Amino acid sequence: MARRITDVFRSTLRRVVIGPQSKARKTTPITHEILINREGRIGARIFEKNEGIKVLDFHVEGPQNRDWYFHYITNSDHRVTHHYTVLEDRVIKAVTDPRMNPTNQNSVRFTDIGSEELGNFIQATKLYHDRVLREVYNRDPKTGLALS
Amino acid sequence: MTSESMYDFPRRALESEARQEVSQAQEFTPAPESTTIPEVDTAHFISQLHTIGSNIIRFRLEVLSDEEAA
Repeated sequence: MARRITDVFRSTLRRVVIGPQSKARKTTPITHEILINREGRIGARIFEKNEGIKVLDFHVEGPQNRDWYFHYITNSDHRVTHHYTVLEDRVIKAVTDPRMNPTNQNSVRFTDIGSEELGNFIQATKLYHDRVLREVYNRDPKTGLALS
Repeated sequence: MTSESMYDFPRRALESEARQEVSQAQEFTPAPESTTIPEVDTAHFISQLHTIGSNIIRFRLEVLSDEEAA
């Protein structure tokens, strides 16, 4: 019985994550990359009302669940990455922005984020949490229980 | 975009999100808390960030584990 419930859940989850099954999709495995991409797109929608830039991705990653990535493209077509690392007592932001150092497009600037940005950041992570649980994992964000 | 406006970006985006939620409610309500930057309790926020991150990753690993077992 437990196995049957697990199978039903897996089947439902597969439909939620990769859409209704077709012959072509039947054998498509759910991979880490598929989940990250789906989460990242949902995370980007949190910021879609912002003018002048296009947010591509916002998601959490890493074995210690402390690395958050935020990618966007400016209206001048520069790709910018914010990598937030949550430490025990602070959050560090690493910004990769080709405009900062045109001679080295991969140069990174590190800063501790201040209280205002920390407040904004946690609001974004809360929205991300609730939407991803509901839309990717079919879970109630408050209880963690499977949605019917 | 200056570095200053880049810094402001998340705040403006989130305020926009909050305004949208208010308009969707189609009734006047006080602005949601999310439009006001609260006094920051860093330790509390860090703890919340760890909880949120671990919750997401738990469900992600669960799905991948089920997928592997299938």
